[in-house]
Amino acid sequence: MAEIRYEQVSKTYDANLVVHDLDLRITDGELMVLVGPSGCGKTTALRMLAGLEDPTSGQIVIDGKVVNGLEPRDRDVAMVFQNYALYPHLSVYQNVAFGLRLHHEPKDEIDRRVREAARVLQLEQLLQRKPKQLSGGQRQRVAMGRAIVRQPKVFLMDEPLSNLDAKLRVQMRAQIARLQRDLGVTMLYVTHDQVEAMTLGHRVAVMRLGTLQQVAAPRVIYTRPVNLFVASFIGSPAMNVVEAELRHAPDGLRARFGPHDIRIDARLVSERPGLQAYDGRQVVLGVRPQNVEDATLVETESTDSTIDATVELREDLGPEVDVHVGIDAPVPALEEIVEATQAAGEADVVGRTEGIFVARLGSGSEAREGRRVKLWIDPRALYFFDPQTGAAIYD
Amino acid sequence: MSDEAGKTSRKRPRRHGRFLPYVLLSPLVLFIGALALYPTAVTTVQAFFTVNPVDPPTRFAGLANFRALLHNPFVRESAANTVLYIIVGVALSTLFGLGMALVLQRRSHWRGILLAFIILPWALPAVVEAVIWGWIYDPTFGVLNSALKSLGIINSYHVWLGLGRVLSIVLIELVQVWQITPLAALLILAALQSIPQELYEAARVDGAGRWEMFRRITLPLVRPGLAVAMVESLILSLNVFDQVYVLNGFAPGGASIMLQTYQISFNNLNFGQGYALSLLATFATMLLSLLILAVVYRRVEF
Amino acid sequence: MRRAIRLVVIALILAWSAFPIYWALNTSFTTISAAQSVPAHFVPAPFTTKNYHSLLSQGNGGVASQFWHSFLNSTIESGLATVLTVVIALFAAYAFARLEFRGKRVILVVVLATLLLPVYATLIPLYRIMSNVHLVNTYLGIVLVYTSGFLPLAIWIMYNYFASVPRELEEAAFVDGATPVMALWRVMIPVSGPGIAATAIIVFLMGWAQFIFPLVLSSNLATQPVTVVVAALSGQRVVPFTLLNAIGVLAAALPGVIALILNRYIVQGVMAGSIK
Repeated sequence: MAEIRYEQVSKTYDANLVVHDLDLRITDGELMVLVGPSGCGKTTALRMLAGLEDPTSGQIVIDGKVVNGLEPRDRDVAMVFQNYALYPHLSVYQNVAFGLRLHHEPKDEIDRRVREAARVLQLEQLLQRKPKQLSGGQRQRVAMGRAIVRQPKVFLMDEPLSNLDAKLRVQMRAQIARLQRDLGVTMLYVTHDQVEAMTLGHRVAVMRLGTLQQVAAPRVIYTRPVNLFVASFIGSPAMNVVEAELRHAPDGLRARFGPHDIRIDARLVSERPGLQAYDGRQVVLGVRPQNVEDATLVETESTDSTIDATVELREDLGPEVDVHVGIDAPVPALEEIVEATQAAGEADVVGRTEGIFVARLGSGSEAREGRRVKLWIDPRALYFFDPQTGAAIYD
Repeated sequence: MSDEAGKTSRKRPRRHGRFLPYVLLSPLVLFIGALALYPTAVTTVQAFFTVNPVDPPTRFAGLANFRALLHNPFVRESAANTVLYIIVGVALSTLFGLGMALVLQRRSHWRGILLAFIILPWALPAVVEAVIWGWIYDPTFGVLNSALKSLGIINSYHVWLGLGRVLSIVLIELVQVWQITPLAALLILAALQSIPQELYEAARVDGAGRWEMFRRITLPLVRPGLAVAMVESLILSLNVFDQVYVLNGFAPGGASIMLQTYQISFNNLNFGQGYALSLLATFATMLLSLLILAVVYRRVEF
Repeated sequence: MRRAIRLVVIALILAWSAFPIYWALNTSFTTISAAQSVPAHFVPAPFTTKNYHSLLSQGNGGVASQFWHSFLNSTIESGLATVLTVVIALFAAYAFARLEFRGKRVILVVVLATLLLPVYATLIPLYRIMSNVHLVNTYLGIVLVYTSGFLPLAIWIMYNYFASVPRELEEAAFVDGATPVMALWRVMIPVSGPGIAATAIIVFLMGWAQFIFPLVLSSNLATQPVTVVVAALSGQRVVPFTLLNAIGVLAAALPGVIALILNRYIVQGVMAGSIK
């Protein structure tokens, strides 16, 4: 049906390589999210699929047919633009019907489909209004209506939720997911928001500087990121990373960073044979804030997975508490990390480069600013990356 | 939206036939080529020829036309006149225009009415305006006379136009100022509106008074608008014809360059000299425009 | 205090803009002797509409018919020139704003440069060209000359309007199935309605105000516009003063009413065009 393939697609603008050798397959009926920071090439990739840009090299295949050089109107795709691009001089009804009228569909067919789409998107009361009389959320639904009414092979979405306020975004996200599921249409969804990526996508494709980093189901991206960038970009608050030395100990491998020395779970080590090669050497160690807990709230006897640190900042979130602690250890200044945390909107990029860990603690924690706290780091939830390449260490 | 590196230099893919742009442009190119560029070329070239239906054939004359013009006392006089036209025209229209723009800048319920009335003189034909003002200046029926007499400023009715050269020029140019000030006002208004409000707010917080804000923020930052308005006024006043024709005729007292060109070409039928004078005036326009831009214009970015 | 100054200035501006026309109106509604009186009457007294009557009733030995013939000429010449200019400028501005092609920048610069050309650069040769093709004293000749003069400004205004329409609108149209020409017709033009209206109004007013070109290109009443005729009538001193004022008022009426009612478009058009 409508399978999409990018085959070694590249795009260059004036000597800037914007998309580099993209190989991506989207199966029929799949909702693929293309996510990455600004300038990573995701929107260009989407526009090449739409036919609004031409690839410099490589092929784009829709439903088995190579579409390079085909005009957008001949590709049977529909697109929702970031700013909705509603025709301001037409009513909602006419906006939605626009594409159908261009294709000379019979009038009663057009009417039937427009009203059906209006029903699904709850636009029935708004059909006679003009776009400027609508709220942001309503306009967004009209843009979607215009797309679904054409019953295209492929749905393209260019950051459709980024202009909505937070609450509306959550609502619309759910509606988009439901819509895609009910219609079963292949969808390529572009966003810079990793939360949208993780919640919407059947699979997520992470891009950076024009290159595809990893394509996998959200769960896999989260638990087995293929490199430091993906690990830092996905997950909020962003993963803590620190340069650590792996050393051998009687009970297995341990990691030492700054004044701290923690245990690595033995089973984890056995699942990561590649770690052995780093014994006695430096690695980049990563741990997600959710996997760091106030030691007093953890029912464990041993202290070999704890660190002692001073609390610099405590943020009460309600059910949880975010705590920023100074760890006295060098944080790798790899650009991927800076870029990833900036893109994820984390406010404490500066803190990162000065050796700060963020821990998400249970609300019962008594950690206070200016005092020391003992934090337990889950030895089973550690990530390891090569300090030169940033690649994750598995095998 | 899309923020890929190099977006501003990106070329959109061509999604139309090769020929579509040229098809769309051909009528334009035809008109401009045949009726604007070609005539300009003719003027430029034939300025150096003797072109006179009364004295055929057309033959090369080198700089003879230009020399004859420079020696022609009428031409010299109209050139001097035109200088005065320009000074009065540019100075008054810019001053009044600035004033109007400042008043228009503030949102008020007067704005709609103000704009409608301000535009009015710009929309009417210059000739009709000249005729109407001529009636105001009229020695017998004119309201200028009756008003001045009622106020006791004069004792008897005067003749205003044609009496003194400078006075005539000023009065005639006033009519043109009446017409072109709206344009200057709008151009300056556009520049005023592009000054971010925050600058004024920051100045207020820093303790600046209204005059200081005007001197230190408004005036410097409105310079591009002022320059454009002045150049427009320059071009229009250098070209002044309609008002002069109606209110002064061909009398040497207040003739303008444009009027002179018309007279030489269509009354004396000396087209060659007409071309030469046109060329000189065109150069003068460009030179003076550049001068104004160099002095007044300041590139302003926010 | 500040408020008061502002109101005074506003009153001055309104008076300055309206007074001459008001005075012409005033004079046109009264008698010769009243017009001459000292001190002048600010309100017509006695009030009479006989000047307008004579203009509207075709009496008065031909002055009226001269006037109305020229009025018709003005309307036809401006109207046709406006239509022609707007249509050509529309296509050209779209090409400049949205299409890519070789020589685009050069052509655009040249066209806009002609805006700086003073009248005399082209006046005489145009007269001679028109006279050679026997288009002097014809509507066609005048309309062609007007159009060539108005095109650069019209294109400049419309180009600015088109350029400010977000590209996404046309891209949405392309994705929905439109060709570039369909996108122009169904999206660009409707969305730019105000800009097109502004251009048309400004061009029409410019056409109505033309004097030197029709003076040169039309030597008889067949094609002479209102401006030429009014100038001639006022110079002759044969027509009574109050009647002349009525003629002046009527000549100013059409552009005046347009300016008062549609000023929003004119202002927008001029200010959009001043974004250098």
